[in-house]
Amino acid sequence: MERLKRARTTPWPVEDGAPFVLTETCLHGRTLAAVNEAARALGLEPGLRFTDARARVPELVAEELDREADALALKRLTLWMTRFSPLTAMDGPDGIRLDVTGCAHLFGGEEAFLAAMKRALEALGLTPRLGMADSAGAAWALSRYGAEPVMRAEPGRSREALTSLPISALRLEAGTVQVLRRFGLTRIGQLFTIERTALARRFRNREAAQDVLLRLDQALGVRPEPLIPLKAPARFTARISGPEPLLSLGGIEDTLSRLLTELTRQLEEAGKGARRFILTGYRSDGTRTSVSLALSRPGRDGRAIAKLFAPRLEAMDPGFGIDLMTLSAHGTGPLEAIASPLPDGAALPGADPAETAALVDRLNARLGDDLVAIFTAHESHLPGRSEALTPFPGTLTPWPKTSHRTGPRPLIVLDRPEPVETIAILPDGPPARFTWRRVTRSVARADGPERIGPEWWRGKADGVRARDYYRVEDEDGHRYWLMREGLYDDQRGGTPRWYVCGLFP
Amino acid sequence: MARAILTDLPLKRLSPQVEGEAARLEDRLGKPLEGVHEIAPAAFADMAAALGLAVGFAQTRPHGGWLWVRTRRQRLDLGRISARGLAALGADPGRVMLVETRDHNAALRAIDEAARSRAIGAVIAEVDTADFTFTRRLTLAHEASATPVILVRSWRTEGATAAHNRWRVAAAPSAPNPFDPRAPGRARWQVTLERSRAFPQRAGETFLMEMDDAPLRVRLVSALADGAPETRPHHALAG
Repeated sequence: MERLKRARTTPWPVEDGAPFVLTETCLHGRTLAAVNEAARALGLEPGLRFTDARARVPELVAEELDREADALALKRLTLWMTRFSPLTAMDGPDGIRLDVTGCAHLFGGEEAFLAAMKRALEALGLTPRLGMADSAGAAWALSRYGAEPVMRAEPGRSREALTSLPISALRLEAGTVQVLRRFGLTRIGQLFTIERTALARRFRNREAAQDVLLRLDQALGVRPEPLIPLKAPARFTARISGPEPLLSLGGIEDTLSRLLTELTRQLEEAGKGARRFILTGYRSDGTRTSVSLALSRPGRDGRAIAKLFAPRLEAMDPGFGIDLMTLSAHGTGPLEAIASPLPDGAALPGADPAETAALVDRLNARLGDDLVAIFTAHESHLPGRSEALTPFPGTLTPWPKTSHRTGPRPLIVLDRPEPVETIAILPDGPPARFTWRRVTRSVARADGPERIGPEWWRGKADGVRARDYYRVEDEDGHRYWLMREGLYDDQRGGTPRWYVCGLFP
Repeated sequence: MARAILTDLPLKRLSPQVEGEAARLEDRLGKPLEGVHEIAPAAFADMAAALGLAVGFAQTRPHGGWLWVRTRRQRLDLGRISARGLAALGADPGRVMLVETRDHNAALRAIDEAARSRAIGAVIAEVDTADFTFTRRLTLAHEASATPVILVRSWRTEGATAAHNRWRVAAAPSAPNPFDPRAPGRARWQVTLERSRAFPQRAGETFLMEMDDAPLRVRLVSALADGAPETRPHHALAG
């Protein structure tokens, strides 16, 4: 049995007792999008034109509705609501849907659960409308059209709860609702009495008929309506809520070690380790703070993980106090056996992969995620594209043997080629002298050129000039990687330019 | 692997005791690196040579990865370390774990952490400044872990250090290229043992070192190594 719950929120500022509206510019000009209680008492309703509203209430205060900010706030709230259930999703522009199967008993039953949720939301300054029922559709209807702010349908009694609600609580299109009204059908209960085929026949087009039946079935829980959570819940999660809000680092450390004990027990039972741990603190003011830790290979050693977390806990700002903490494990996988040399002996000899990985984890934990990188080779003849840095993958593997030979490559490649002034004797040869970083150097010996053409198959090769690379040595023995962009008379621009691209040892 | 060309070495004039020590130093240069070493370039332009020597030193360690620590600023000032360039020096770029830290202090923390670990073959770190206390910390860490540390420092480096050796490197005209007399040959460096706790009597001596892509030990090389280039091999012309 699946029980779902909705929360409707009105997160806009309310001025005490004064009418206040949010407006939105749409097809018919500026219209009201949302009104507060005081404005509602004066007869203002969403959808009214702003000029009409002003005519009725001259002192009306209005603000432009910011849908993007609203959506963002709703998203944040949805994430925060994971404290009540791991499966949360935004529902339309003003709702949050929670799948609370198996969650209510943690709070002492469904009544207490709803009360706790209402208290928590009211503490955030929101006016929630909660509905809880067997199906998402019924919960939606109860939250929006229920008589009370908190509505709950007993398990298996959604049908009764829906009977007296208006047709529009079925999430139908406005046109469809109008058609039903014309037949005299205003309550959902009336639909129950009509046979399905008869109901379908009243509509001219099939889609509308199907829609009514679909929504009706969904509300009754006959047809499934799966919830796609905003964030997939982690399979391995530990949670601890304290009686008092946590304010100090020491308290957070304590809680972490208790969470780790619980989480490592879960991982041990499943025979798994995790590569990523996320510690989340839910503050009492409705915000979250979290720090994460990435390991280079799956692990579940609680003490080692606690040590790695230690330098990061300072980044956790308790704010007004953290009243709930969770620790979740992600990227789980089997614990790898220590030292697994590849069949052809490709793993580096003597290096203990587990210890190397542990060192990398310590460095990453202290200095920043994915800071330790390794070189990876790419099939490209362009010097800048033939290698890259990627985060340490958990083990070192030897550099692949290249299939093609290239010219000499310098140990240091300048971040970007630096243009130099040159004096060349021959237009196609290496320069005789060049000035780099304000020092003029005379070339004693030179090797080259190695001509590297653009990768025309990648497109955008038009206008890209071929590059000639030289290895030159000055009189003192400093060795440079010089590059000439373009050739004389290649019809692709002016005089070729010289650059220093790298330094040989 | 650095090959020393010890032409400048006044071996004849050394006392027997010092001579024995000299032999030990040359022996050591080919053996797996130990200790905490500082390598400082003679000038900014010699930075590449200093890094080359660091790679040569680290390469004497047959096992384990290298942790290469540098700051983001050093990448902007000097440039990136190139995997192909490492491969050209005969090193395996797959051994390198590169750490580019946000600032100097983070780099020092990373070096300290790595020096205390037994998991890796060598630490190569580019640090502009490292005071006596820090180098002392590293030597203590090295005594516990036996992981060698190579600090590549700036050309302004001077003053006391607790490192076992401090080397000063300047680029030298490369070895004669046997195939083309107008082209540069194998890299050579003028290396001075500026300070040494391991070989105090040898401090101040200068060596000519040469990179070799074959696995080598340091050895004495006769004056012939500096001689005229060989002629081009004939098979290249036989067509």
